[in-house]
Order: sequence, then C-alpha cells, then structure tokens
Amino acid sequence: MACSSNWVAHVDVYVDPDCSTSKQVDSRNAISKLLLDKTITIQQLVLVAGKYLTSNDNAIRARGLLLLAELLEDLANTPMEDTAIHSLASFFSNRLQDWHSLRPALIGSIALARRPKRVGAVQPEDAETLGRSIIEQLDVQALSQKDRMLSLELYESLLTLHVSSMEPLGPELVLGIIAAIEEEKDPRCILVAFRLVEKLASIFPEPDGPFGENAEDIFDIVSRYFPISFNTPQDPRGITREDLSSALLKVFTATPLFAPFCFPVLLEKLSSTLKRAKLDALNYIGHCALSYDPEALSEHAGDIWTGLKSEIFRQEDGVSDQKDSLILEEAFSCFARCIEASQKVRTNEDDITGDFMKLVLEDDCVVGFLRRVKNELDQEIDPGDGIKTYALTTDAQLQAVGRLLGAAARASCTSCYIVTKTFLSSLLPSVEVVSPKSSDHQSSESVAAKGHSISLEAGLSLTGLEAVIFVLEGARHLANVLADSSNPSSSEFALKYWLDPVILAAPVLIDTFSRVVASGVVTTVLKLGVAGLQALASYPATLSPLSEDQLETVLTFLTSTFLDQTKGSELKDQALGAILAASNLEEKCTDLHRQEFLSSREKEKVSVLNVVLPKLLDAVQEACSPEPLDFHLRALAALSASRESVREKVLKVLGQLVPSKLGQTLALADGSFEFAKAVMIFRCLSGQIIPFCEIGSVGQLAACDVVMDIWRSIGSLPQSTVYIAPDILLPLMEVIRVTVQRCPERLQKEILTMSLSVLQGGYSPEQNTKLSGVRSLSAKHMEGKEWLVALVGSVIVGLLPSVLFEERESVLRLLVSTSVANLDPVITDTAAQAAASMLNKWNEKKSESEEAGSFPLKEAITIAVDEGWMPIIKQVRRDGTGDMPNSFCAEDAEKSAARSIYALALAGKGLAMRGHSRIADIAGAMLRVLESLGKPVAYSGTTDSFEMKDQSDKLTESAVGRAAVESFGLIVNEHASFLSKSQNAVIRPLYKQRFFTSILSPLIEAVRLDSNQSSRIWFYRSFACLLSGTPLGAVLTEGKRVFPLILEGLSTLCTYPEDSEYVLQLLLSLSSFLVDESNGRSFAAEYVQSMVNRLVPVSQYKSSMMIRESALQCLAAIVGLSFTRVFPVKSQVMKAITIALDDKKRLVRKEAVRCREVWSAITST
Amino acid sequence: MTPGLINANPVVHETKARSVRQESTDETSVDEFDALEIFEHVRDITDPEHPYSLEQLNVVSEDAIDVDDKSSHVTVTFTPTVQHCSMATVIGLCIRVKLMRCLPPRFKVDIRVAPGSHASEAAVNKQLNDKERVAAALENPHLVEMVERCLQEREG
Repeated sequence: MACSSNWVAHVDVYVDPDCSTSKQVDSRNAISKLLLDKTITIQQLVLVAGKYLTSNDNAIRARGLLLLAELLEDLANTPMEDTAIHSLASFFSNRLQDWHSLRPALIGSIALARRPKRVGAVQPEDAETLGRSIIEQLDVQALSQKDRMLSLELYESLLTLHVSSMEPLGPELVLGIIAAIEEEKDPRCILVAFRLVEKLASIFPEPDGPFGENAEDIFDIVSRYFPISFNTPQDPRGITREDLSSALLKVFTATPLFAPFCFPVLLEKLSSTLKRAKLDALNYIGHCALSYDPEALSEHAGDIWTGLKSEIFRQEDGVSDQKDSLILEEAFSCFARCIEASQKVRTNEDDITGDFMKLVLEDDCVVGFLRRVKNELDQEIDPGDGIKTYALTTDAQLQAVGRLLGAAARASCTSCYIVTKTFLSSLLPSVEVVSPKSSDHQSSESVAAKGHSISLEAGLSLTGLEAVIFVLEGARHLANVLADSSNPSSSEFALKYWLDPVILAAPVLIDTFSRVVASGVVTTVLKLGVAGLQALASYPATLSPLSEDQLETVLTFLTSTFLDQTKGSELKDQALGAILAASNLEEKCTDLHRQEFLSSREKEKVSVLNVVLPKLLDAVQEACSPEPLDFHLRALAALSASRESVREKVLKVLGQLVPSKLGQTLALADGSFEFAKAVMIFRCLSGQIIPFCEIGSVGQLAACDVVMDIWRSIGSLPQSTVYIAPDILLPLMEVIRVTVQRCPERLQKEILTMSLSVLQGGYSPEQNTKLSGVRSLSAKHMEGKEWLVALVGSVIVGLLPSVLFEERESVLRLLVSTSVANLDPVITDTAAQAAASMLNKWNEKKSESEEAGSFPLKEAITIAVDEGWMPIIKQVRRDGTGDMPNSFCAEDAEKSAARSIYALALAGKGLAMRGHSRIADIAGAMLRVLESLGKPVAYSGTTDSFEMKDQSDKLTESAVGRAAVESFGLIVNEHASFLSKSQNAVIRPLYKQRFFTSILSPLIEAVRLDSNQSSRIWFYRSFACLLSGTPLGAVLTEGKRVFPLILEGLSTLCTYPEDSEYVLQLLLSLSSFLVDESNGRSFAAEYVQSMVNRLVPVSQYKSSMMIRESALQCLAAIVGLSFTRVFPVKSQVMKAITIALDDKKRLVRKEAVRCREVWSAITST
Repeated sequence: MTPGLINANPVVHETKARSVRQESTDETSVDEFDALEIFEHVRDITDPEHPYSLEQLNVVSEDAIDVDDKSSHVTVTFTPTVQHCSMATVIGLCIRVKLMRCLPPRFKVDIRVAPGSHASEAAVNKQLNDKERVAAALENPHLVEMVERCLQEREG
C-alpha cells in the first residue's frame, strides 16, 4: 500500500503534542478523507493507533482517543460493520472511566450513539452497556461545563435513539439523570436537562414506575428554576429567557405525575410580589391545567380559583401600570384555560358545567355582584349592605367581575352557554334601569331630573352594562375562533345550542343599547351603548346571533348616530369605529368563505356595504357645511381603506357627484360652500381613495371612469369659461394625475385622446367623439385657456413612455409657451413638468397613425430648449432688463426668466434621467446664469450707481436667483409628483452620480475663474443644493475635489444669515465625510486645521440652532482623526466650545458638553 | 481582608423615568439654565463605592439644586448615604468637576452637604468650596483617577 506509510505519519503528527494545531487539523482531515474514500478502514486505523490508545502517557492517550472520536463523528453517515461498531462501543464505554481522556470518550460515545440504523447503529446490548457505564462512571456535576454538556447530550441521544435498551435500566437511569442535572447552572446545559426530564416522563408514564416514584424529587429539581430569571440581555450563545421559559413549561406539562407538586408551587409563586413571577405562574397554571387530567385539576381547582380571584380583584384603584394590566390579561386567559380544561371530560351528560365553572358560579363575589345589580334594580335593599357583605368595594373590582364573566364566555362553547344563560337574563333587567324606559315617566319629570337620575344610577348600572358587553365580547371571541377553525360543520352544530341565550336576548339587547345611546347625556354611558352595539354587530357572519333584520337595525342605528350632528365627536368616532369593525369582519368573512359569500351576495345580504355606505354617500351629497363633510369624507376614506368593493362604490358615487355639477361649481366664486365641497371631495379622492386601488381592480376602472367624466364635463363647459381658480384646479389635477399614473396603457391612451380633443375644442358632448377641422393647438388660440393646458399637462406627466400621440409636436410647443407665460404658478409649473416628462419619455418610434414620419427627440429638444426657454434666459442674462421701459416690465421679464430656468432645469432632469448628452448644454447655461447673478447689472441707460446697487441687492432675493440656485438640486432630487418611477419616467441607473461627476469640473472651474468673493456665493449656494440630492457614494468618491469646495462654501456662506439651509446642507455633507471610515476620514484628516477654522464660526451661527448643533457634532467627530493633526487645534476648539456651553438653546449646550468631553479626553500624555 | 465599605449595604432607589423634554427649536426663545438641566449632568455620576449612580442612591435630586441664571449662580445640595461617610468630599469633588466641565465659566457653583446629613458638615462644606483646596485635590493623581472613574459614562 503506497500511501500506508503516509497516513500512519498523519496519525503520528496528530498525536504529537509538539506539532502545531493547524498541522494536526490537516492530518486529521487527511485521514478522515482516506476513511471516507474507504482507502483505509477503521480497523486498520485502530491497529495503527493502538499504541497511542493504550499509552501510559495521559496526554497522548487522550489525543489518540480524540482522533478516533473525531473520525467517528466524520463517519456518522458512512456504513460500518457491526463487529467494528460493537468493539468500538464497548471500547468507548470502557474509556468513560478514564477521566484523563473523558472528553474524547464522550465525543466518541455520542458519535456512536447517534448513528442511524441504515449505516449500522449500536446494538441494543451495547447501548445498554454504554448507558450503564455513563450512569456508573460519571459524576456529571463535578465536570467542567463542556464535559457536562457532552454527558447530557450523550444521555439525550441514548434516550432518543435507544429507548428500548434504556428502559431496563429503569430506576438507575432516572437516579443517574437526577444526579446529573441537579444544581445545573449553565443555560445551555439547562436546556438539555429540561429535554431529558421531558423524555424520561414520556418513557416512564406509570405512576409506580421509576419516574413516578421519583416525581417529587425530580419536580423539586426543575421547579427551582421557576420563575426563570435570566437577565443577560444579549446572551452570546443566543439563548433567551423565552427559550428557557418555554422549555421549562414543557417540562411542567410533560406528565400529570407532577400535578400534586406543581400547583402548590405555582400558586405560592403567584402570591409573591414579583410581577414577573406572577405572570409566569399564571401562564404555567393555565397550560398545566390544559395538559393534565381533569381529575388532577379538580383536586386543586379550589386553590387555583382562590389564587386567581385574589389576582383579579387585587387591583383596587384600577390598573396602574402596564405590568399590572398584563397580569390581569394573563389571569383571565389562565382562568379561561382552567375552565376549558375542567370541561374536557364530562362525567355525565347532564352535568356539563365542569368543576371550575361550578366554583365560579357559586362564588361569593359573583353571586354578590349579581345580587347587588339586582338590588339596585329593586331599589329596596340598602345597597351599602351588599357592598359590605361581598367586599366588592371599587369600580375596578366590579368591572373585574364583568371581565371574569367575559373570560368564562370565551373559554368554551359549554361555558359560554352557561354564562350567557345564567347571566344575560339576570343582568339585563339592570341594564333597563339605565334607559328611561317609559315615556310617561320621562315626560312627567323635567329634563334636568332625568339627567340627574341617570348620573345617580350610572355607577352600578354601568357595571351591569359593562358586564353584558364583556360577556358578549367573550362569546364573540369564541365565535371568531370557531369560524376561523377549519371545521365549519362542528361550529354549525355548536351554533344550535351555545348561542341560543344570546339569540334569545338579542332583541332586548339591541333595544337596550340603542335606547342607552339615544337617551343618555353622559358620554361614558353613550359610549357603552355604542360598544354594546359593536359587540353585537361584529360577530362572524356564519355565527351571528342577529338575524338579518336585526343586523340592519343595528347598522342603521350606528350610522344615524354617527351622522347625527348633535352628538359629540368622541361618540361619533366610536360609532365609526364600530362600523369599521363590522366592515373589517365582513371583509374577513368574504376572504374565508368566498364561494358562500358570493352566492349570498346575490341575495343582497345585509352588510355595511349596502346599509351604511348608501346613507353615508347620501350624507356627503347633502352636506352643507364643511365640518360634517370633512368627517364624512374621513369616514369614507377609513371604510374604503381596506375594502376594494367599498372603494368601487365610493368612486362611482362621488365620481358622478362632482363632474355633473362641475360646470356650475367652476363658475362659482371662491368662498361658496359648493366650491369648497368640490375641493374637499377631490382632495379625498386623490389623497385617500384612488392611490389605494389595486392595479387592474374594479376600483381602478371606476377611478378611470371618474376622470373620463371630468373630461366630458369640461368638454361640455361653455366656450366662454375662461377662468378656473387655482384652488380647485390643483385638486382636480391631482385626481387626474393620481389616476393616470397607475393606469394601464390602453386606458391612459383613452384619457389622453379625450383630453386632447377637449383641448382642441373638438369634443362635443353629443357625439362623444373627436371632430375634424378643430382648432389648431397654437399658443395664440389657447389664450385664456391655459388652465386647460395645465389639465392636459397633468395627464401627460404620468403617461407611460409607450403611449404615443400624433400631436405631440404642437402639444410640446403649447406646453413650453404656457410654462413661461405670466400666469399662476400652478399652471406654469404643471406645464413645465409635463414638457419635461415628454422630453424624458420621447419615443423615436413613430406612432402608427402618423403619416409625416417620425419626429426625432433632437428636434423636440430644439423646440423646447433652444427656441423656447434659452432665449428668455439669455435675454435676462445679457442685460438684466434690457431696454424695458419701466419697472413693471422688468419684473415681468424676471418672472418669466425664473419660470424658464425652472422649466429648463426640469427638462435637464428629464434628459439626464434618460442619459441624453444635451444635459451638458443645459448645465452650462445654468452655470452662466449663476455667473451673471453675481455681476452688477450693467444698465444701458441713464441709471446711476446708486440705483445699480439697489438692483443687485434685489437680485439676491429675486426669483431668478432662487430658481437658478435650486436648479441643480431640482435635477438630482426625487420628486413624487413628476419625473419619478411612480410617474413612469425613463430612468437610467446612476444618472445622479453621472450628472454630479459631469457638473463638478465646470462648477469648480467657474468658481476658480470668478475672482469676486460676493459673486461666488451663488455657486456655493447651488453647490449646496446639488449636494442635497446626490447620493453619498458619489460625493465621497469625488472627495478630493468636493471637500475643499465644501470648506470654502462654509466660510463664505456662514456670514449670510439667510443662507442657513445651504450652510446646513454643507455641514451635513461635511459630517458624512467625517463618519465615512473607508475614505472620507482620510480626506478630512488633511484639512483638520481649515475645518476647525470654518466650524468655529459656524458653531456660533446666529440664526439656526440646527446649524450650531451640527457644527458641534462635526467638531466632536474631528477628534477621532490623526492625533498629530488634531492636538494642535485643541485649545482653539476648547475656546469655541466654552462659548457654546453658554448657548441660549439647551440642545446646543448639551451637544457642547458632549463635544467638550471628547476633546478634553485627548491629552499630550 | 479588604477594608470594609463605609456603607456596605446602601438603599437603592428606583430612578424616575427620564422624560425627554420637548425642546423648542424656535430660534427666538431662550432656554434658561434650570435645575433639571444641572440634574441631568450630575445624576449619572457613579458613586465612588458602589456601582450605582448618585440618583439611584438618592444622593442628588432635582429639588436639591438651585439655579439662578441671571446672576450666574448654582447651588447643589447633596445628601451622603450615611452620617459619617468619608466619601462625601469625593462625591462633592465629582459633582464640582462635572459641573466645571459642563457649565460655562460664568457660573459660580456652590456645593453643600444637606444640613444635618453629615457628621462633619461644616468641614466638608468648607473643603468643597475652597478654590485652593479643590485645585490642590485635583493635583493629586489618585484623587483625579477616582473622580474620572466616577464620571465615566455608565453603560446602558
């Protein structure tokens, strides 16, 4: 065998303690490979390694054994001969007594014990030997953590895979494991130990078996861990308190043998003051009750009930903090579980109550509560008596009884039946007290007295009412669970009996609750009424206690409550909440039982959709003042938020409502309510309803219909309509924009064709088609109709690039001329956005109907840029006002120049996004504008120097200046309403980065050439805008060139108080350099002195505290840069910080303290 | 055996939930220095003996701090945990150093032991408010190290 000497050498290397670890690992891997390839067998290896395995040197023996053990691990899935396994197994069980090589022996034993059958498992007798050996040889708790873990794992694998051979070990095994896990502290081992106990319990379930006999001891060991207190917030091994707690819960619930010990321990912990312990105890009691036998539970039922009662009635003054309310929640769910558990086995058919339920029914508190409610009804017995007898003193305790009954109703069908049958009937009369039931009684007394009587009774009657609601909600919860469960037949069956009491009581309940709402004056009482109706209305459809008519009554009542102007807003909100709850439930049922629902829908089932919605829509139509309308619209938005079917209906009705009156509305002057109403409806549509329509849904089709209707009604406006107020134009455009942007191509085309024909004046309402011989689309003809252009623009903005239309050349011209016209910004901006969108999406492909051939993008750009906007800008740039005769014209020219700059920047953005080269020209033009801004305006006429100065000052604030400064920011920033992904723009990846890189050089060059300090300021401002939208990565890559510019910008701009936004932007960019570990900090490190020179004055920037704070943050970040550069500036910085410590704003002072701390930490030593 | 602690088993009080103050960002209004702001500075100082903050041991509280922004004067009154606490001067020194670092130099800071809470009240007060003695104490490297340790930001 050629390699034999080789691999023998590997064995030697591995065992040799002097060899390096990496070498040993290599040789181990080499042997493992040979074994896996079957080049050598394990027997051969044992023969070769024999001398090490039996060596007298402890270290070498351990190494040898470790080699064998690790190789066995590698061979876990490789078949091996039975004889080999047998000899290895007996060898390893033998080695367990050699404590020098214990760990390798354990590893090997685990590897053997875990071998699956198909590759040759350990024989049962060998497994038994192994088990016996570990029980006899190992004192687990005396070992190190790692060894303990391995021992427990060995136990676990034996118990999992070799149960049959472990069983005979019986008592020894149980005692061995008890010894092994007692007093365990390590969380990892504890988890395994818990699993071991669980396994033992399932192997020996008999009460007189080895486990049963030791159950008390075992429980004693595990119960010491309860409640788990494990506070390591971030355990390195990823173990959490929850892991441990759920593992312990499994142990507790593993066997009913624990029951006699478990409940006393848990109840004792429940009575402790630790909230954590209480919570856990409640949780454990509930789960244990469910998993043990009902008999085991019944022994302790009394104690458990007492414990729970003391928790539930403990809260004296209501629930004070969150933990308390959690405990209360947990107590109720524990209670529900106990009831469920006690009813699991029915001893006889008549008695279905269950022990626990009986206890509750016979309890003093509950009986007392009922008596008290009744006493109140009869008003004969002194109520004080009841209070003393039953020790229910506070409202919170009274309320707790209600919640208790609710929890009982929630527990199971049986308990629900019992509770509703027993209590609804006895509670209901008490509810009646609240409502002034007889009208003659009401009329005989004055209104004031009525209010008085209610407030007097409110205390107790409310409690009764509350209790009813809790019970109803509990039953509803159960109904929901049953309706959700996959077995509808059983719930149908159950319906027949357990909801009967509720069904019987339903008419009275509805009557009572609605009378409460109708009569009361105290808001809390009214709210209870609404809550009760909500509880009734929101049962799942299949399990509703209400008949169709009753449901309709309830929904109608809720709707009228919430439409009622006289009710308080709080109550109305709650009524809306109730309707929403019912609506959500309907939606859920539709999802669950789609088929059933569809069939039932044909029968026009009573639902929110056809009871509430029509009323609400009517209310909107008839609304005549802003507040209720606002409320109604909010309600519509809330209802339609989650339901497509509601959206569709809302859109259909509202959509018809508005366009039909659009003509009249537009003609109305501002300020009239009809006008405001239209605005509000449009806002609601565009903001809250249309954006939520799913693409391709019925709702979206309805939205498209709305837009078409709008265009139709615009088309049918009289030709004389010349003016639309921007107030309504904007929401109108928003509706169109939001709808169009999400439409599929076909619908977009339809809307576009419609809008263009309206624009051309060719739309006739009668024929509904485009006429021939229409008015041409030139600016002259459109005079006074610019608002129409803007509306068309709002269609164009959201079009898909694939939508082509033949008139695009003339439309573009029209948009360009509109964008610079002297009109409201709403119109000009939209026109500019639409023009830019057209350029961005310009498709070279000719549209199929176009005969004249394609119209290339190049020419389109010429039309828009070179002939449209550039000349206007150039004119202003050349001479400011040129030969304008008076100041009015100068102002006009300036305005239109500002608009051109805005439009040009947008066009630039559109072109940059599609990666067109003309963006360079546009950027160049922008730079030239910026350059000219700083120069004093050269007047050609007779103006003297004084006026000249005046003019240049004005320019700093002028529209042109602002537009020019912001133009770069416009190009690199995202805008939701135009040229964005949602508006279907053409976007090339990384266009911002590309634009930034391309503009940087010309910008720096322009700054360099401009010698005048005050005119450079324009470049810095626009540079700050540019930075605001550029991705950080691009800025950092250009760090070398960008960084000096940022610093120069800071030092220039920080003297101008009005430039705070730009200063802040520069500071943010600076700080992004300072926090960028990869290369930003290395640029910054070269500029420490100049950074500090700039930041110190900025840290005292007068007009913005944000800037002062950011400057201090930057200063604090500088400390981390290279020490040799930072230390020399320390005294300068400290001086500045000392001033900042006395800043007038507290936040700045805090920042200064932080900054001072880090700076004072660097010392020369 | 290590020398015994002065107060081996101090009472640890629950700290109040820190309410984040809604700071106005309005540039025109002036936020004056107030007791809470000073308290924010000193509450997290660690006790020289125990791993608890001065707030947890009830050594300092917001009520025991007086601030007069107009006349630039701050008075901090602290309560040592036990009457004979020899750490009182160290605690006082920690508070002084912390405020020296956090307040603008215009403030005069008086640090006092609460009346009746310490056996040698007058001596401690004198020591803490004597400029020379404070300066001398801060020359002592052991003391400075101790103070620095107390002022270190506590985790969590």
